[in-house]
Amino acid sequence: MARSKARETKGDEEEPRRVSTLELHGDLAFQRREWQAQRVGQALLALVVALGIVGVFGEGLLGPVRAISPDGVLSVTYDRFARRGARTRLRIDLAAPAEGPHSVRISRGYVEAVEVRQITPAPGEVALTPEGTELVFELEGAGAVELDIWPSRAGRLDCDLVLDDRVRVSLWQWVWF
Amino acid sequence: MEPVVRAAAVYVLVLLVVRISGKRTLAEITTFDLVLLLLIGEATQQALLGDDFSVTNAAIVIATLTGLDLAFSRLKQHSRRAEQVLDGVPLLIVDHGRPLKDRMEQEGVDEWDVMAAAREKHGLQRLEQVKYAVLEVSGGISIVPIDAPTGS
Repeated sequence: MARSKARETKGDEEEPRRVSTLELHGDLAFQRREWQAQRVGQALLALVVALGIVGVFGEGLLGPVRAISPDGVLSVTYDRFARRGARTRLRIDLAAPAEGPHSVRISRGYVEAVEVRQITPAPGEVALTPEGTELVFELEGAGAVELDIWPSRAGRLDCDLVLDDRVRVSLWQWVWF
Repeated sequence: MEPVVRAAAVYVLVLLVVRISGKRTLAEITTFDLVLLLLIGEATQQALLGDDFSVTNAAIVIATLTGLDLAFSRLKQHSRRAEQVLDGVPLLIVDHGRPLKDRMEQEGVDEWDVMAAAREKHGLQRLEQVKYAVLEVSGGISIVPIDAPTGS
C-alpha cells in the first residue's frame, strides 16, 4: 500500500515505460516548452491588465498629464496615452490673459493625425495657416477650452500649441493601434 | 487593407489567448463559459469592424478570417511542428491506473475529471480500471480501459 502511494505521488519526470501499445503522437519535450510559454503568456496577460489599470493604454490611475508654458499663462491637460479611434480630451487653460480675442494655434501635424469633433466653447473664428489650425476665442479673463479628439493615426503624435503667436507649449502623446 | 490587418490581428490575438489559457479552458463549456465567449465576441466585434459597418467590410473580414484558418490548416497538414505550435500535443495523464500528477497539475486536470470521462465513456468505476487517459489537443479526455483489446 505504502509502495502504491509512493508511486502515485511521485513526479513523472521520466516517461512512462509502458506506452508501447498506445500509439500517441505526444511530445513531452514540446509539452514542457508549451507549459513554460503558457506561464510567460499568462504573466503577460496579467501585465496587460495591470498596465491597463495603471493607464498605459489610456484613461487609468495615472490620469491626464499637464504641460505648462514657462510663464504659466498657457497650460494643456491631456492624456499621455490614447487609443486610435477612441476619444481623448485636450484641455487648454489660459491663465488671466488680457481681455479680447485670443488665438490658439494647433500644429498642423497634430491636426492631420486626429479628428477634432467638438470644441467647447466654440471658437469665434477658425483659420487654416501653413503652421496649423488657428482657433480664435473671445475671452474675458481666464478661460478654458476643451477639444474632444479622436486620434486617427497610431504612434507618437507631437503637438505644439501657440497662444497669440508668443506663448508655446509642446507635448507628445502615444496612440495605440 | 485596414480590414485585413484588423482581422489578422484579432485572429492572432485570439489564437494566442486560447493557446495561453491551456487545453482545458474551453473543452467543457459551462453556462458561464458560454456567456464569457459571447462577451469576448462582443469585445472583438468593434476591433474587427472598426466604424465601417458595410457589407463589403464584413465580407473582407470574413474572408480574411476564413483564409487564415484555411492557411493554418494547410500548414498543419504539411508541418508537424506547425501543428504542435498551433494545436498543442496530446498528453498521457494516466498510465496503467497511475495518475501522472505533475502533468495533470500543469493542465489543471484532476482525477475526478478523468473518472468523469471514464464513467461517461466506458462506465468504469475506479481509476485502476483505466489503462491510459490522454488529454487530447481539443481539451477532451480519452480513456482506454484496462481490458481494452491491444490490437497487433
